[in-house]
Amino acid sequence: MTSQDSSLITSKWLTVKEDRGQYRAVALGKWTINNAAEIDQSIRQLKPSSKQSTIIDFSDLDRMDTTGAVLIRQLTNSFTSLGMVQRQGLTDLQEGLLSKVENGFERAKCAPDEEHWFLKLVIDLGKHTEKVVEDFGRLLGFVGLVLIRSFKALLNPKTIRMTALVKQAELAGLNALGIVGLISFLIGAVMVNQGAIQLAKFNAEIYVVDMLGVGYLREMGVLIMAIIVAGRSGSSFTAQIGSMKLREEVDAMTTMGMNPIDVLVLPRLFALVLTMPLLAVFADIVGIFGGMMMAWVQLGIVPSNFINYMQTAVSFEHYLVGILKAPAFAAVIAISGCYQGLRVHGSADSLGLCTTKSVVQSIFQVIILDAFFAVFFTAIGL
Amino acid sequence: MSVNIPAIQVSGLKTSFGAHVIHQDLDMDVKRGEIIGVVGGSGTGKTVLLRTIVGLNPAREGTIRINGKDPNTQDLREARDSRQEWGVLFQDGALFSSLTVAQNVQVPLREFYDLRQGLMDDIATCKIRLSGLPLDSGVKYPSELSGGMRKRASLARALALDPDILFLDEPTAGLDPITAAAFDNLILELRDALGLTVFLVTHDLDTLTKICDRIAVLADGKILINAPLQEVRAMDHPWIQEYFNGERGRGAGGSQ
Repeated sequence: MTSQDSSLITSKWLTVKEDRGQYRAVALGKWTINNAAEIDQSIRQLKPSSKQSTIIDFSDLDRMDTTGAVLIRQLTNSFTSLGMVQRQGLTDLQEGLLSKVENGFERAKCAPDEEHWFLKLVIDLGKHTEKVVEDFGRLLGFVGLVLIRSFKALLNPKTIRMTALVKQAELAGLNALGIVGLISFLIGAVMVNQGAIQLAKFNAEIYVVDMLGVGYLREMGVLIMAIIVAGRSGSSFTAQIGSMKLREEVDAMTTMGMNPIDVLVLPRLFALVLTMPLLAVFADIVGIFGGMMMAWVQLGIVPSNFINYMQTAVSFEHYLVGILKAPAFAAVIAISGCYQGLRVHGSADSLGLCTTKSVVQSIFQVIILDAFFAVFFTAIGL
Repeated sequence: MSVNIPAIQVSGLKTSFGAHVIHQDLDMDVKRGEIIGVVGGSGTGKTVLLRTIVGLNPAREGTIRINGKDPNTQDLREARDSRQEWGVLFQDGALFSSLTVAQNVQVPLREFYDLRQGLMDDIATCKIRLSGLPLDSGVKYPSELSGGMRKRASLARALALDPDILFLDEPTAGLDPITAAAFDNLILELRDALGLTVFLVTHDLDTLTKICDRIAVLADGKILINAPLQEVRAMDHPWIQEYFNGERGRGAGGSQ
């Protein structure tokens, strides 16, 4: 080593020296992915500046894999702007691998471009608005299509797929009895519990029966039930139809001349429209029972008195209003669920997204519809 | 890694689903650096064998050694580390659909190493090129790719950690003959450049005749024969004769 020698870098993997107007780089050890981070750091510390040629010696290289080849390419690139680069000591196999990595190489984009956050905000807003409008139009189209097919099916009932309908009625209706019952019972009980505390301030505890009768039968019972069904069955409709869509089962169906609306949507729609009023009756009974129990425990109103008073306080119309809403909610839930299911395309991501959308949309639509019903029934004096 | 140890060593393997036995007393060795093709009729458990070797299916009896290591006797950390020694290409690609192709390739890199993003992008680009995809496909999502491209992208991901052993489940199924031939060549090239051992399950007679060093025939829950093509062709077994010397077998590679 002479005094003109100056070492640019000395590490476990790489030494680079300046020697008689020439860079001499020596690669050492195993240039494999296990050591990639350290080798990468050594290369990046390297800041050659003089315009001169370079010799890179690989005779002490133990092993090289493709990551090593990528690193060798980076090492070579850091010298090429300064002058000739000569590589020596590579085996044929390594040479071959290196040429595969270097041949026509340019760094490709690996992730989609990201806009500036403020631009992104505006773009997202525009995209979302466009999508919401488009989605609404498509949903309307779908509703129309389903209506046409339902009328056709109702005019010719033999075309209704009874097996599927009964199966769906079991899944969406019968199997929901447990959860609907439990939640209805609790809601009824809580309404009485909280109502009684407020009414006690006016010494009017007995009016909890009115409150429960009107509030629960008219609004809460059917609404809570619809929200449970939207979460339970709406999501499962989307997931079932969506995964069939992903596996091209829906396409297969279409090519066999079966209309996916007849096969997939109508049985679910009819099943839900038929079972949800029944579920609503059940929810009403259990909810009132829950309230009655709470009234007995908290206020000492015995069930026989509770029932007697309820008959005079709550008219049949209140009950009817609640039940009448159930089929409409059912239609909304089934249609959103099936629509989102048929919108699934491409990937598992899309399935998750559509399932979320289906549940959010159907709950949203149920509540909007309920508001309309409230205004409507009051207007017609029910 | 010692050259003398077989890349894959299966001995006395038994697998079953419930009472249905798939493999019984199955023995098989794969030498380092060779391309072995596993064939067999539908339902003979070719894919199950592959899945059992890579540890996705439990073996009821017998031992499996990959690079001389038995996954059953390893602790969790060793088992995880030895995953770096092999890559798997699933039948339909099994790419993560929420990530771009390049990000898919980077998944194992991220999992095992702490590398600079720039270097990872370089490595991903290099693997994408190695697998013969155009450079602009790195930024695409799997759902935007054709079946053949998805297979290549999946191969790029299988190669991410520079494995010694590559498991391919029907690599050319569903590809047109030109793309399939290109894929065959790609596997050959990669084997030569990277010194890979390739274990492939296939129905494709062209693949078998063109790139496989040895062919293992799976029937009756066992490996009937594990030998170069000529010896397999010569074996006197009805299924093998039907397979290699039947109408389609003669077409592929010719009946010598």
